[in-house]
Amino acid sequence: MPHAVTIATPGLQALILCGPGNSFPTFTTNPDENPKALLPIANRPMVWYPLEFCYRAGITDITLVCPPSAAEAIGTALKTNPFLTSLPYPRPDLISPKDLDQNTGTAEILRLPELQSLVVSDFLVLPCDLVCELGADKLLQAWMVQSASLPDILFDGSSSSVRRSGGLGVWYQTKTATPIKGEETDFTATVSLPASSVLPPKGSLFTHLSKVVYTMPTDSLKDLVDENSGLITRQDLLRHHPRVRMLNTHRDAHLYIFPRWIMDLIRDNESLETIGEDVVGWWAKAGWQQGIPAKLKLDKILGHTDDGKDTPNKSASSSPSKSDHATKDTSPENQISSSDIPPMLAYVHPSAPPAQAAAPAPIIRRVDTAQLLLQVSLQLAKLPSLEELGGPDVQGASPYAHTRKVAYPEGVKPRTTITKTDSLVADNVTVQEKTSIKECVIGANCQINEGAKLSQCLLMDGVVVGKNCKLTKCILGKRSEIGEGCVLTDCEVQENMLVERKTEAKEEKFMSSSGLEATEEEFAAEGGSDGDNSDADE
Amino acid sequence: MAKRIPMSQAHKDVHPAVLAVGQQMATFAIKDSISRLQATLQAFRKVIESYETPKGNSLSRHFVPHVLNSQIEYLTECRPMCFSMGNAIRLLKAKVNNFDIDSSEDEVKECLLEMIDLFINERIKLAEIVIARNAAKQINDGDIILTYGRHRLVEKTFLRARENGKSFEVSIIDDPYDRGGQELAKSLREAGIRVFYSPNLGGLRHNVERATNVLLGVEAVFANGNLHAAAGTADVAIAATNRGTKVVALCETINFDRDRVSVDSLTYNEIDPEQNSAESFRLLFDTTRGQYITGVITEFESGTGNSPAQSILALLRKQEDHTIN
Repeated sequence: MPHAVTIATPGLQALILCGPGNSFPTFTTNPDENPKALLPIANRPMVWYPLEFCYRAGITDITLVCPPSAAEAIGTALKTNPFLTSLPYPRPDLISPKDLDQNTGTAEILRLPELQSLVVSDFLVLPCDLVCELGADKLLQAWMVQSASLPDILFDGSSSSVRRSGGLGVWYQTKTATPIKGEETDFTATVSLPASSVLPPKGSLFTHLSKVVYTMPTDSLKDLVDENSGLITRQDLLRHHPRVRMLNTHRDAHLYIFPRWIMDLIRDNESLETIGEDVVGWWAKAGWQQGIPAKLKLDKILGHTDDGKDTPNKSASSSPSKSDHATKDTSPENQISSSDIPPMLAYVHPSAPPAQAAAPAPIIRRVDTAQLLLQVSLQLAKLPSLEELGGPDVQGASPYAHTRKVAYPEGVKPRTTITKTDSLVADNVTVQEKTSIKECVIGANCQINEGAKLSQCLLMDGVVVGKNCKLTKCILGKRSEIGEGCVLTDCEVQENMLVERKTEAKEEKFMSSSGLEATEEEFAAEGGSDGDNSDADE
Repeated sequence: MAKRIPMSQAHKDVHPAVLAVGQQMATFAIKDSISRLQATLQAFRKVIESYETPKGNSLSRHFVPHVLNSQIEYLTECRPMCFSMGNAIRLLKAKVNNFDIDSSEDEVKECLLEMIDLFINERIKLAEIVIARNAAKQINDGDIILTYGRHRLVEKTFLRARENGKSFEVSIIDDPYDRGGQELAKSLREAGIRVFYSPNLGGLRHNVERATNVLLGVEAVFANGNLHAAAGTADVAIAATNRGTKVVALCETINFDRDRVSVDSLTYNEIDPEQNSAESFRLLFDTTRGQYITGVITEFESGTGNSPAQSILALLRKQEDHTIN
């Protein structure tokens, strides 16, 4: 079924960063063989979602960036996984720069020479764990109209200093109806865009666009607040923007549309480590804070000619000693003014749907902890399948709907209960009699034996669930095996693990003990409690 | 009415630059005919630059039907084309067709790019400068000039006259649905010109009585001399002519349409896609009859400075024959 993309390409290229992340302890202990990018969400490998997002936008120039150690696993998956091979042509490229390891910061990735030479136009940056149902064309339209500058796109080499394009990022609300404990949030401050006399078109995202003036992860914010016992705000910020909106419970989706000059910015500023915190944070500050544009060398990067038409605010003398940036030595005529910096816009995704919409708001989530994986998989399992709706082009069919809820009905024996409205059963799954499967997502090639009762579980590929097991809210890794009669609640089982029969456990993580020798000793010293590590197959 | 199709429904041959321009036009980020024309021509420049003739075809025969037409279709779907865009595209297509089937691709491309550059320079940038200069000469010290809405030529004229040292006042009547007059007022204030602002057509008679002349910007001029301008311009022109005040319209010759004739405001018009419901809708343009205008300033006048709208056609015919060759 692969076919060529049939819509117009917007001329942007996409980068999907497939690093291991550090919030998935149970399932990414082997980041080379089981990279995070291939973990299944609703039975599709995680990296399928950002890829599909790009194809839906018409972007055909997609590059996956991964560490060299994981390249083989991801490359094989691209060729063999049924979901990845059914994506339209042209196929994404996979590059694994040699200096990239598991701990490289995201901005450092963009500084690598392979990526500097790869990015030649305005580009999108996506994390591999983003599930974004919102149409990319709407985001691109918002970027093209509000943030990008037409002279920059149509640059014909005649004028020297042309207003450059800005960027766009996406933020979503984490405090939904069912919040996850401990989900990371970002502290972001935005100001609304200058009101224009033109009404925004219906159905566009323009009403939710605002300009970012300050952003940092909540963890860094907490550190800062602790250090200074309070939130210190610069006077420059309030002078430029008297009305600032501060968002506390939103999270950066890490989906950015960046203009080409950001690559130069990253290249020239070695201190930028991560995109979300450093690049976007400093860019936002450059819009109002005296001295930051010069510090980031933005005048050279944006190609500003120093013909004296920029008149920076000479407010350093009148403000109290907060402005401690060493820019007083550069001559004011050559300094770029803060108001000339192209803006970094934010699309703040509303969590409640607009009143007239029939369907719930499109899902935008980053799936980087196990709990999120479970919740998003279950949420996607509730989408009606295409079979029930009557075809993929029906109004209201989500792009994430599967063709059928139970992909292989012949493997399901009679006298089983499977709640189709909120479960998803993949191909080649054998379900024996007298089982009950409620609100679960079951991966390919699994075996559910007689009498098992599964509720709100996520099973990855090849899991074997023994007879009469009772599993609630569990996440079972690839090829794991649960012995007979186990009762597990809120547990996570690593791939290839065997959980012994008749284990009863609540909120435990079954991981292999390789690399955890101390734990084993402790375990032996304590005399052993039940339910923890058993045999580990590597 | 602007159909404003989303990007996902654009045809796959549409060039990215054209896509961006189309989106900006569809969302009314660029509204007036000259900005749209300039953006379109620059986007077409990109299309020509990136175009490669497939084997066995010749650019002069393949480009227009297979490449250019899909771009034009997409732009029309985003928002119906303005007359100047139609004129420019007609000239471009005529130029392409004039080439020999055997001429080399590079030669044709270079020629086309040169033509587009020349076109933009002559008929947009230069025209703007000449019109502003000529109109500014007509402003005398102590004048109170009335204008409707915001038009770039009118703005440039005022700023030019200010630079020339004239002291005058401006009275702006604004369109209540599209408050461009506020931006105009701000920019004139920054230049130090005294501005009186009315938010809508209420009090039109009073404003006209105060004014000494009226300067209007228009979108296009029809072949019979009637003006196609933002809705509300006709009211201002009629009220002013009634009182005997001089009414001058500013328009580049590229906005003159030789084929279309209009006697009412309904034949050629566009529905505002935002103010559009089952019970009522708002129209964006109206037609001002030539008898209510004292003269039109284009980049072509000679001697007296104004020409009656009807004679423009003759001027155009003389000028366009020269452009094609």
